[in-house]
Amino acid sequence: MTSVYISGLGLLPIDRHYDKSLTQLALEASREALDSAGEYDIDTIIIASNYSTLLQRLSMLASLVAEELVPKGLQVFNVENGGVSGLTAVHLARALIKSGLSRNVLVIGVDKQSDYPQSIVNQTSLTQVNYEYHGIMGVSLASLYALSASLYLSKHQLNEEDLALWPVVMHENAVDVPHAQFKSKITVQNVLQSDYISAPIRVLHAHAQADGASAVLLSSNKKESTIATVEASHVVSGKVEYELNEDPLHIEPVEKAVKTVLMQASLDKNLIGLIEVLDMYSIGGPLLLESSGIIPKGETLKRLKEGRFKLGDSVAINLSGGIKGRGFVEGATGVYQIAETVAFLSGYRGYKQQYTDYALAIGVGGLSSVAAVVLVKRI
Amino acid sequence: MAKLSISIFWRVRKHLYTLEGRKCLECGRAHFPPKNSCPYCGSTKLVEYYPPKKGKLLVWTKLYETCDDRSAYRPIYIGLLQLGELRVVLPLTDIYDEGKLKPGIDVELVLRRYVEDSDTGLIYYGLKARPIL
Amino acid sequence: MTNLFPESKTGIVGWGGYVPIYRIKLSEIVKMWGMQESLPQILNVEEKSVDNVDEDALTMGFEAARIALERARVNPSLINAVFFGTESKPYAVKPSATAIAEALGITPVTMASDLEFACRAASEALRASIGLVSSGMMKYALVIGSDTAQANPGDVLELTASSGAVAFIIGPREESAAYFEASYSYVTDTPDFWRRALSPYPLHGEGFTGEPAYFAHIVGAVKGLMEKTGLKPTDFDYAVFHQPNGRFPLKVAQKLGIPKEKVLPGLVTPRIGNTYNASALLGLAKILDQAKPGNRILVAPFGSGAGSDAYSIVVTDLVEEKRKNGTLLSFFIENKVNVSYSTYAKNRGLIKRIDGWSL
Repeated sequence: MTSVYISGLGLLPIDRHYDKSLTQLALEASREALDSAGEYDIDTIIIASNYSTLLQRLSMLASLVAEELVPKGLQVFNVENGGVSGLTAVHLARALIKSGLSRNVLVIGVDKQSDYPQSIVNQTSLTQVNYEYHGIMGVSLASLYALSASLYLSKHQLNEEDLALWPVVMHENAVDVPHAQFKSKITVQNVLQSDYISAPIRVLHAHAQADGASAVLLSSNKKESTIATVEASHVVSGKVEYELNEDPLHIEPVEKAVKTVLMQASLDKNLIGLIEVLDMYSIGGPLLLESSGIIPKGETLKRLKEGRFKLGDSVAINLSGGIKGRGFVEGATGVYQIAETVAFLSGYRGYKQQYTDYALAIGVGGLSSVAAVVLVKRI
Repeated sequence: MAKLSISIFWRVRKHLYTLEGRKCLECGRAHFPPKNSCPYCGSTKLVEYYPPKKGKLLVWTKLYETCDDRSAYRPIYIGLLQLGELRVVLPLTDIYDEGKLKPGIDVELVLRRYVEDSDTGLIYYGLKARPIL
Repeated sequence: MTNLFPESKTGIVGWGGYVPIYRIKLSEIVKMWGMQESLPQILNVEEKSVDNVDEDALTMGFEAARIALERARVNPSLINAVFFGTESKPYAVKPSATAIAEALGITPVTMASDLEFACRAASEALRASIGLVSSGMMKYALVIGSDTAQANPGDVLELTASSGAVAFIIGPREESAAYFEASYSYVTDTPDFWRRALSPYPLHGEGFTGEPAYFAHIVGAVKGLMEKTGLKPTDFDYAVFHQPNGRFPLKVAQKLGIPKEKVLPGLVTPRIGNTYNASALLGLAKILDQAKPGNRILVAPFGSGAGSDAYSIVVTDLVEEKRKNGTLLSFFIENKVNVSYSTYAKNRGLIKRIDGWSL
């Protein structure tokens, strides 16, 4: 049975990099990963990016990056899968390695949002709903998450203050994360005083425009630089219109993906001590964690209030700072999530360390269009 | 400079004008927008389903983060509605008093503009919901 | 007299009216532009209706047509003509009638077009529909009058130009809530009010719009109808005229020897302004919302350019049942929310903007 080793990481600071192009960011993250990995003969490059075609008008970014890294030519893929582009790219890399079609795969996640004003970014989010209906109607992803937040808060008798705790904790977590976009603390007051994006979601629940790139080197060869393995992974499609789910608050594909991954690894969920979850608009955190079955329904924010899920807890969640603290770079985020789980498992380059063997990266595209889960194990 | 497609809208115009969904003959559930197979049981035995003009508001939001060509409509009120057998998310309109937007209120479907493509391009029309006075 | 003219084979099988919820008080407009303060009183108009940002003549026309269909209870595919009378078309070229026809399930076997004759286009469509139905060419025709009326900001016309829509489904007399006894048109080339092709707002001849236009043509049409039919003012229970303000209809009634009590029930402009193509016809819709079987109604729309029609309409036994199946016009008139001049300006597109960013 071929193992999938993780031997190199690249994590660029998330910021508005006006002076760097998509290609440049991808190359920088790649060089970081390759430097830390050492001698690896890359035979495959997979780029995870949501908007390189729509915003930077580059539909074949993988080729642009490949020709500078490995001029002789290699397998190249461009993966676009909403918020799980990065995790999907890792899943794809794992499949290629386990099949023997690849040996050393460089997975790069990259996106740039700062090349256009916010109104354009708002428009691009219409591509992640069913454009022909909700896109034409102007019902953006933010508004769908907002409706979910309303349903969630009223169902579990919580209020805006309870939800505001999530970004506060995320900012706290990001303080000591070198690549995080925001390293300053915020208060519940700050959150509640920020303007609405889509009520009840406010500016401080949501990510800010950002650019970034992250890279991981996956291989069938274990070397000295190897720090983790990809134990299992799965991608499952769901309903694009989340309101068609039996329970709009239960994201079915997340439940299925987590179940499958745990089965693949024959792992009890209680052995997972570290989770990076895609916490879109803050409400994504509780929704995904509870849909996955890892936390009981309605419990996430309550436990957060009790001080749970910090570094050292039986399960640490979003030590990266999540989409609010670390930042959200569209298609790149999934690769950041993998690089982060590895970094926090191993204490790589002075990153804080969570003492556990297993970490889970969970994400969704849209609200319930697709879910992806990757299980990482420390070496 | 015209930006909106003709045929992307034209293909779904009837669905947007009437909220035409599908009803599954196997499990009896209805859904919108119309899919080729039932999202609940997977059957392809589907027939047209038109919801009633009136329904109920379940939850609502008001969206500030819009794009420039919808800036005249900001904030866009959006609601999760129960219309007959359909559970749908639709824009809301004629919201002059947010205080009246409570879960459970009655709403009715009205035809309105979704968006215009500047002064020269197409106008996309479709159904929205408004609270029944 | 009842079967003398081809019109009498046809009638109104369903009717509906729609007025947007928003209003602006005339005093707000007067204040903004430094107009004479007594103008609202002189015009006998209190406030006018304002369309929401996402409304236009097409969307309002649909709402009125839907109510008419609810009252008519006919299979939409049997409606074989959709006429949209307006002078505020969303597209100068591309009919609004087709979108409404599609939305109501009337397409594809149908005639459809938008008509222009200032405020009487819908009335022209009404007479044409009577012809189409009475000839046996089709069973039903849908006529819509709808406008988001334009006026140069600061001009006295701005005080009355408002938004509203009305719709009628014309069909066989046996299925009608009211049938057409007779009709008459009186048209000349009289430029009292016009809007050039690329101009956003119209110009009008102030005093010239009165005697040579409004009064001459309405009197011409009504007198012509009475001569043709032998009917007298006393034969009518109601009289509805084109209502550009709250005074002209009463003045023309006086000229025709019709007491104002017969005019007041159909006078809607004082509450909602002048809805142009829906002006007189919304008055008719309001009368149908209250009239009794056997009532005879005189309807005389007028459009600048200029022309007027006159109809004699007799209410049938079916009116009360059909009335129940649709929203009454008074519901739209009474349920209102007042807005400021700034909101009105935004809704009416009076604020100059440029296109922003778009992919």
